[in-house]
Amino acid sequence: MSDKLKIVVVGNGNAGAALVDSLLAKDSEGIEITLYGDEEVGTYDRIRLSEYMAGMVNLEDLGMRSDDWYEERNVNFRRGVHLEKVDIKEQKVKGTDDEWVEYDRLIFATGSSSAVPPIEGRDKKGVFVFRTVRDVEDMLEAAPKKAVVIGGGLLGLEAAYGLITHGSEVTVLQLSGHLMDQQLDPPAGRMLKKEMEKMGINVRVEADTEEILGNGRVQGLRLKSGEYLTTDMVVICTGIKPNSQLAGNAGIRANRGILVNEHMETTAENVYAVGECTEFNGQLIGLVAPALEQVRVVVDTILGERETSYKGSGAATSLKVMGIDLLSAGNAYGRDEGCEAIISANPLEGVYRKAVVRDGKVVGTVLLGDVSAGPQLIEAVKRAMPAEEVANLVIGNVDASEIGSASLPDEAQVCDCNGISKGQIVATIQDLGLKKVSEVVQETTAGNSCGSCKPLVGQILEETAEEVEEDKNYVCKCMELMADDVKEIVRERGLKSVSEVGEACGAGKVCPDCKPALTYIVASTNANRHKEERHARMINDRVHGNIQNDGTFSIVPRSYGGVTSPEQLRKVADVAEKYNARMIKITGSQRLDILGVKKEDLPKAWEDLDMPSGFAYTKAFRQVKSCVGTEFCRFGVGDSTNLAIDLEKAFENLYTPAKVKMGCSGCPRNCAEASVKDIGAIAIEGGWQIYVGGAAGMEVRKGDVIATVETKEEAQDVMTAFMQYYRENGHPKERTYDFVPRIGLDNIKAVVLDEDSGEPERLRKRLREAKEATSDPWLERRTNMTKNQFAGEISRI
Amino acid sequence: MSGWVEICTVEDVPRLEGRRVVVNGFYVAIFNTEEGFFAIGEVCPHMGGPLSDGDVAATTVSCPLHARKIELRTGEVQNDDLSRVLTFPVKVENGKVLMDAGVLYTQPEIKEEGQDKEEDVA
Repeated sequence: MSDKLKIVVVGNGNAGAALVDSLLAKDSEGIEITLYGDEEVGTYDRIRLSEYMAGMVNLEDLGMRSDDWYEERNVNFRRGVHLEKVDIKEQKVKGTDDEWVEYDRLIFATGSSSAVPPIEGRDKKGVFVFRTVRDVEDMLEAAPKKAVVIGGGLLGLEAAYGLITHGSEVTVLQLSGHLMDQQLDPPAGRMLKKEMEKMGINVRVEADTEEILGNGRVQGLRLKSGEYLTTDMVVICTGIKPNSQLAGNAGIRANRGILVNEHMETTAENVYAVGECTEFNGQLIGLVAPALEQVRVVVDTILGERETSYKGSGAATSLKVMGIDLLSAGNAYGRDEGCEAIISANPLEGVYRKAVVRDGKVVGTVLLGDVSAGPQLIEAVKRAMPAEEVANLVIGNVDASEIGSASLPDEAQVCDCNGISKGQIVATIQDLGLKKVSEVVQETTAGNSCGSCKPLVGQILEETAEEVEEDKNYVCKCMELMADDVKEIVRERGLKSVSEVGEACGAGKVCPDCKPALTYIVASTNANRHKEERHARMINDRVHGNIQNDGTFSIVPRSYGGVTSPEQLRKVADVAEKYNARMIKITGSQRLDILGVKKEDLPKAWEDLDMPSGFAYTKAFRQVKSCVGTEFCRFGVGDSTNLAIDLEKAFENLYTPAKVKMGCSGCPRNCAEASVKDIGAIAIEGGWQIYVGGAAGMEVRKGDVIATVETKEEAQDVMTAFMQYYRENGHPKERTYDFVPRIGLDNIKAVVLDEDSGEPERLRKRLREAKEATSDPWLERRTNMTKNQFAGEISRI
Repeated sequence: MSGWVEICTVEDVPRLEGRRVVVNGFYVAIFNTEEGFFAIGEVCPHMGGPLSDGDVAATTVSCPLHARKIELRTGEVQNDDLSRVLTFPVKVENGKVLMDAGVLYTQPEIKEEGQDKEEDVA
């Protein structure tokens, strides 16, 4: 008989998994864990289900654990076993495997279930809840054209987002007057609705579902107002209910959830509960952060000093996947008596900030559109700080970066992605004598995931380190030259080539790293009337293809606006066969990529294709993704296809500081994903919205709306002026998603939109001038630019 | 053993670029730098990238696949802990580039595929 402490954990969700981890971390030798999990799969990170649904992560990323994982740690994991009986007198439990297991400590982490309201027709095929991996997989398999999500809370919005990313037309029905009514107050909820609609999600508030209709499977839905909606799928996300029945049946006191005290003890001896199955002070929790706090407390209660206690949820919520900046913490409503609120709102820009104050102390906050003050305000809520300390921050009189990090206590979490506190960062800076933000990021991992806390990390560094060194963005590291330094030299001395720059300042002479950037500066400063030197470009730009891992190249011909033809497709097929391409791939930007062509075959392949280069291999204007707009689509309100083709013709062959991807969508459903392109246009009723600075690659950033214009021509004018402004002012390798925030949208608007000043037209003129000096580089197949330019080998001996 | 062979003319390799030659079945990268011509093994010790397609400055070449930087005089990889790349002596005479390929000729003859198989069976 082992003398180890026998711990039984019931439930293998976020709380259960974290509990097992924490117990093992605290005392893996002295305990023996039995874990019941009734889902067939092992544990996974349920809060990231929406990311899984949106295709952003796979199952491994959700932290699925193998049987080996449990075995290696001596955890007796009873997979797929549902616990049926709990005997709190004899201290033993029995599951569907029919085996009694004794415990010294029993911890419920049974979580919650979707609370499905008694809507008529809820048992029809095509009605889903959004709770498990299985639910997500079933929903995606059903691939509905139209879907209705009942419930406009966090989960409902995430389900809606997941569905639109898979091409469904989605309507969210919210019972109350605004979205996320648990976390947001009405004004913020209304602004969120606007943001959701911009993404193409329809939102109906005060919509009460009466009946789900359909013969066996869902065909539609009737609201209490009598209105009828057609749909192929209904997803019910109306809330959760704690799984407390098992505990209740065993004689443990449960109300809506299992009742726990501040040490997570239930009314039964040696029985505890954590997570969404609990009820503390009448409070249920539906978020992961407080659940994890409860886990820390219960571990201390059982294996530690029983000193820490749970004080209730002041937890912060943020929207995870949708690119919407939203944060709410504590009492966001402030409806109770004695509550006042400090509010600043600018619905035109979608910015809303609010701090709820009671007795002069901050008790809640809501931030939408601008969450830069998030760390300070969450901290203010947690510690009930005096309102005057954050008032200016909320009103916007001071910037979050101005008040600095000094007000944050050491335990405040700075990097939410990696769970790094201010104290850890301060200690690392002091211990290692760090001076640069990049060093702090590298040593602490704070800021290396999403990067949103980097400004705060910078402030902490400034307040901690004796000496701070700027992370200089040198274009030439060897000579410590900034891009602007080189531009100045080129302009002042009228330099025409990279070699001349090298003679003038040494850049590019010692190592080749900066030569492509120098080429861009020399070319753009001279409106492409520079002396081209191919040694100063990398191989992709010497042979105009993208080098692959085996030394062969890929060929992406230009198909304007993503439109192709039978003739082009035939040629592509013939070329792929003739030159033994390893693959033809349809790229994410609506083009065909012929992969695996030998360098020496490139000129012949281009001749056979007789199509221009798509520039898919370099820092240049790439392409304009489009949808079929008004030409075919029954929803189209703007001619996105032809705008895309016109833009692509206007910008082809132009190099840019970093690659520029564009998109044109014919309606707000935004099938061309124009809001996450460097430059995008989305047709709306009566005009176009122009986006800049969007990205959906290594970085994901929703573009900023720089202008809303009436005609296609105006749209093209704004996009052209912005393009040239970026070409002239972007640093080499700086994508628009860094460029736009660096310069500031308002500053860009002031230049690019002020037609009266004449500057936008001058920008467009300079772009046209630069374009005139370019040509299709694939024509070098006829007149080589350098000796043996495309030779596989120059001799064989 | 020395084995000077003529591999190309000085015009065959543009200034500050590289080109590939094949000597006795071996790929060799030849570079035209400001310090003269250099010849090294073509294959990057990191992941096999074609060094003749790399970027040249001073007496270094950066591999086009993952920017491993190789010193042309010594074959040393400057920014990674990898084995050296083979280097070959080079000289220019009357506009011709010659390289000492002796070491490449000391390798065993490449047998025809058919013969190989028979041996395996035996």
